[in-house]
Amino acid sequence: MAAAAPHPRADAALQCLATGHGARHEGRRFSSDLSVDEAVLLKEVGYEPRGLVVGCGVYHIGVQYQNWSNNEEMTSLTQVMYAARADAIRRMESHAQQIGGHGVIGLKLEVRIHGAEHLAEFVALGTAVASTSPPGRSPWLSDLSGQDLYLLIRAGYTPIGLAFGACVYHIAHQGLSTWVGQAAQNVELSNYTAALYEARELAMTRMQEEARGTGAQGIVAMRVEQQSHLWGSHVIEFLAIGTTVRLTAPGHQRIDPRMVLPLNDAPAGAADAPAGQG
Amino acid sequence: MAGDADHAAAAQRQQESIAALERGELPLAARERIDELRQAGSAWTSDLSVAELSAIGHAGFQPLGMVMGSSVVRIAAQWGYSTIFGGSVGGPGQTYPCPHNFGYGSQTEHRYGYNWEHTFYEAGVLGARDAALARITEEARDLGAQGVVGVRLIRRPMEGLGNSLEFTVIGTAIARSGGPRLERPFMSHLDGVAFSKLIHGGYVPVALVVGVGAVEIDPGCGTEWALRSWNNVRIDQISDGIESARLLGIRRLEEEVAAVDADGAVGVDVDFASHDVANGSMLIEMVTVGTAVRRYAKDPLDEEPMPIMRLR
Repeated sequence: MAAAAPHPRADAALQCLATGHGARHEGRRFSSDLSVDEAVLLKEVGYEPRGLVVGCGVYHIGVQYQNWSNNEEMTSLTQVMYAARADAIRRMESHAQQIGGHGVIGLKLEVRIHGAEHLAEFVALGTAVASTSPPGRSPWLSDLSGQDLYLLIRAGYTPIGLAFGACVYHIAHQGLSTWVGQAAQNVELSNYTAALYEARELAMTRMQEEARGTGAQGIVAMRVEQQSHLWGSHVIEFLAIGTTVRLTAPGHQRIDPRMVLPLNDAPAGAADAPAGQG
Repeated sequence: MAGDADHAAAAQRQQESIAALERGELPLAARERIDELRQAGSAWTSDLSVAELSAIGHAGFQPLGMVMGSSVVRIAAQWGYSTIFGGSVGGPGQTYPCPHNFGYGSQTEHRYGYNWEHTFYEAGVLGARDAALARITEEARDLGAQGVVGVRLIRRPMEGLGNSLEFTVIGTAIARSGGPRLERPFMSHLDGVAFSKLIHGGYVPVALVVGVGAVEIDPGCGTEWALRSWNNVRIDQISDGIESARLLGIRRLEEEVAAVDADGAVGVDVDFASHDVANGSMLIEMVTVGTAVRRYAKDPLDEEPMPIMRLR
């Protein structure tokens, strides 16, 4: 084979592969679920991966008595759904500390239901990262991707932690006479509307309260998830969750994005996608 | 007759292939395909997309051919012993005594619970993986490749063969002409575009690494009582079992990273499953697969990434 065109990076990479010498990491040998894009961008903002970290707990979710025709919060379920997540996160955090992490990114918080036994597994999984310059404060958690973290830091912010609030709510069943009376009209089912409002507001208020007192100036990438898990259609959990951030630069740093107009056909539904879908 | 002769020749080839596999060599068909690819004037084969082809070219490499490694193993039975030997079979076990201070018997209402590691199962998966990787490595080395990108990993039970597992890896061998000859070409489950970004970002792939954690949970009476509870309670035995399987899957992967002298693993896929086995026991399985990488350069990217806003 004829020698290829000069390519210093490729040659240095193969040299490292053959001899094991190069600008090797000094820290622990890590695992990570970061994509290559994320790993490369993290390096650019002075972080390196430390390892996959996980925390979990399995709970038996008991039954709470509910009044068939009442809208009401199911407080004992709210408590267990919140406490179980908090415990999984705490376990993951201590795993991250053991391996010298200063933060956790790409945190995924899942609830896996084993229906027959009313078992719910709460899992927190993410990649612990360490700052290459000495860190100034306690470890932070975030469900942002590596790309988002890069943009956040370049814009002058630093992540502080995860804030979340939960609310499990029972939505009243309608009486038969109401249903018969309204069957031929379009009507607002105001008891449903009110119940959804009430539950969502409770979850969001709890999240806001959690962010207060942490020194956070805002919450980014917040979302409200709505799931019935193992309870059937009239009991719904609302989970409000987001990453709290603080401005560490003197002000918001402009990043001046370049406008580009791709010449290939737009992917279906990409242009001005509604928020939350784009 | 010609038909009989063909049949005999085919049977003969099959015997030779089996013998070659047992000697640690490639079966005849694979050996012949690789030899043909090496001949001057033969076209390279690859499952790279056009984008991947230009990306690996941008990183200074070119494709050489498709390479593959495969192995089917039977996994020795390990279940059924747990209630007899308790935590002593397999890896480290955890014991959950009867909270009511009654007996040990497995048939009574009161019994101990055990969590124990399914070491046979783990060794079976890794044995199949080792054989498959040794074969793909041999194919790649014989082609003169420095590595294989886009390695797809197929891990599945064989149809109609109890407790068996097929492990197959398949990808495109690539080389840099004039580059060093490597005894162990790298393996990466990242595609060609990701490979190019990795090289430009200062990392080089080293090997495909796999971590397996398998833990069986045999519930004790304390756990079963908690499962029948009307309250919302944490089930300690099941929590511990699942957490140890997850942690094992991660720790084993990191041990493999160390074994190939890499700095870390990226793009790790986490595959978690729980299976019900006999008598209310559960088998928890955590398999992690990633590409181990070394950092060869500390200097930043040639250009700072440019934020863009799409107008379409």
